[in-house]
Amino acid sequence: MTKLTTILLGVSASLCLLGSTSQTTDARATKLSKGYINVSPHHYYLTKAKILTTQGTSTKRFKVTIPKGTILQPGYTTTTKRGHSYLQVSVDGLNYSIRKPFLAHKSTVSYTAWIAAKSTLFKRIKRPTYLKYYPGNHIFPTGASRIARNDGNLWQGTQLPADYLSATANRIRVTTNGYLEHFSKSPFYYSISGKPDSTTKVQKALYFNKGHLNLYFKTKPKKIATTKFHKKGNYRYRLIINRLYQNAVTNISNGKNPADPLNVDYVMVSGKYTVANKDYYMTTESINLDN
Amino acid sequence: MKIIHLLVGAMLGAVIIFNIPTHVAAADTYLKVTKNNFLKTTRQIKTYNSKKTISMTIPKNTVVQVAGVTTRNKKRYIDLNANQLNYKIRQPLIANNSTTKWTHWISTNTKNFKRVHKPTYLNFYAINKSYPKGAYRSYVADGNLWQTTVWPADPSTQSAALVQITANGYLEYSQSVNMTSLLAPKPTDSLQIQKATYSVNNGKLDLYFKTKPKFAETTRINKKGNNRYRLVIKRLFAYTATPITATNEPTNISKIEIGSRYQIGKTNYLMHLGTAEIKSKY
Repeated sequence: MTKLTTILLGVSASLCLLGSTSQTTDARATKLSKGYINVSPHHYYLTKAKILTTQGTSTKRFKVTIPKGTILQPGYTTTTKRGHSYLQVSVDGLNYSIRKPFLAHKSTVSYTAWIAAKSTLFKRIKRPTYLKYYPGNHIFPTGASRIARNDGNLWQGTQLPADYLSATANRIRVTTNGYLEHFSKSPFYYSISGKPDSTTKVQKALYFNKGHLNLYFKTKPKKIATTKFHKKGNYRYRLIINRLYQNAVTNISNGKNPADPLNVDYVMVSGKYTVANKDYYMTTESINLDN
Repeated sequence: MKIIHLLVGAMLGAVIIFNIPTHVAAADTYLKVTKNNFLKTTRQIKTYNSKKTISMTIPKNTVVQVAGVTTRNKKRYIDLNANQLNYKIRQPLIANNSTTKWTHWISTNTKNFKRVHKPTYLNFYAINKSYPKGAYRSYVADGNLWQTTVWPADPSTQSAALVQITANGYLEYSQSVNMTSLLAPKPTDSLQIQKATYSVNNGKLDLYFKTKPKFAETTRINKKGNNRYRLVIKRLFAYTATPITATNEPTNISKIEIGSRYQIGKTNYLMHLGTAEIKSKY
């Protein structure tokens, strides 16, 4: 019976991998070899050593370096039959100096090559406090015809514009490794974030219930209004991100239907925030209608 | 010899014993139907509204769509949505101000019903659709076509012209009906559909009538017979979304109401498809 369950779990896990790229690999499916850790796209990991890897095509390879002490989230994970676990890092979640080679080489992919998930390289950690301004792992069930989008990007304004596919707006976000980045006129539609016009390491974060997140910096973040908090030390500047738990919706018409402004193909939901008392929003989900 | 006699006697006895129960079972068969199955009455059925305060009669050969099912004492019962039956049948509920549109439980005894396929004239929308738990969505499509382009945020205060195709094959038109009304009032047009064809490719439902529907453009195609007038209901496969604000929170959208667009002639109609709840925290 146990054997059968194990086989069934194995089958479902491999189906998950085939069907969707961001599914969790079930640890019970394959017994991990010694020295490998269980990895999931829903979890956070701290690098215990500098990781050198490559990406690109066989003719145009480029080097990617992830420093020791980087907190990252895998974009994809897999475990081989022999019990070796691997992960690919979504580089857009990391700060500019790490993702820079991808931008310099105009990479069409936004993740690293497969990296062995060895216990000497990675350690699973709790979700960092500085990311708590948005929910991490919400997924709608198959057949819901709606997709959770919470990606950590806060856009200036009150809600997503209907022409977002061709529009730009000011954007701020905190990377998984703890950098506050600001992008002026960032396109809504991108694969890897370009060069930020402000990047500042978060020194400390305090999360309060009701959606209040305080971030503290040693140097003053450019382009972002902060309050001076201390004259000395690591916590000199403070930024308050406030989640309002309110939604706005934007009806999107992609022109597939007869040119009629009433027709809606899908609805984008904006979760409202204030950052330093200014209006911001995050795209929290999209809802399909033609189903 | 004696042994043979005994054997014959035993066989006869067996035949008699086994015959009796089969004969009794044949008398009572219940159709194992589920929600949204289609049935046709095989005799006139007298029933009530669900509160058993108003009686109503469903004639023989009426096609009905099962609204709900229940099993009591190993017998299957169904109830019906009176609003899916033509005015003549639902009229007693309207006349007596019924507070419910559901009928009383009716036995699915084969003396009452036989199974039929989903009628072609209902093919212009999906009847059996549901969302999984955690989708926070509901599907309420009921075949009612309202003469409007977008589902209103406050339907209880709105009235519009209503086109209904009942489960038993009547096309009914009412000029002004409150958009949350329980039972559609007396229609200005009520015509029996003689024939229907539906094209999945272009969403066109062609309905044929013996008498001319007054409310919409029709094409005269025959001078005689049952299929003299043709009316086209076109499904546009286009959708509308109406944002609804949360109670006492004018800046917070808590759900969207989804509409599916249709055209009858050149006039726009809309069916309310359902609701997608938007939570501020999942």
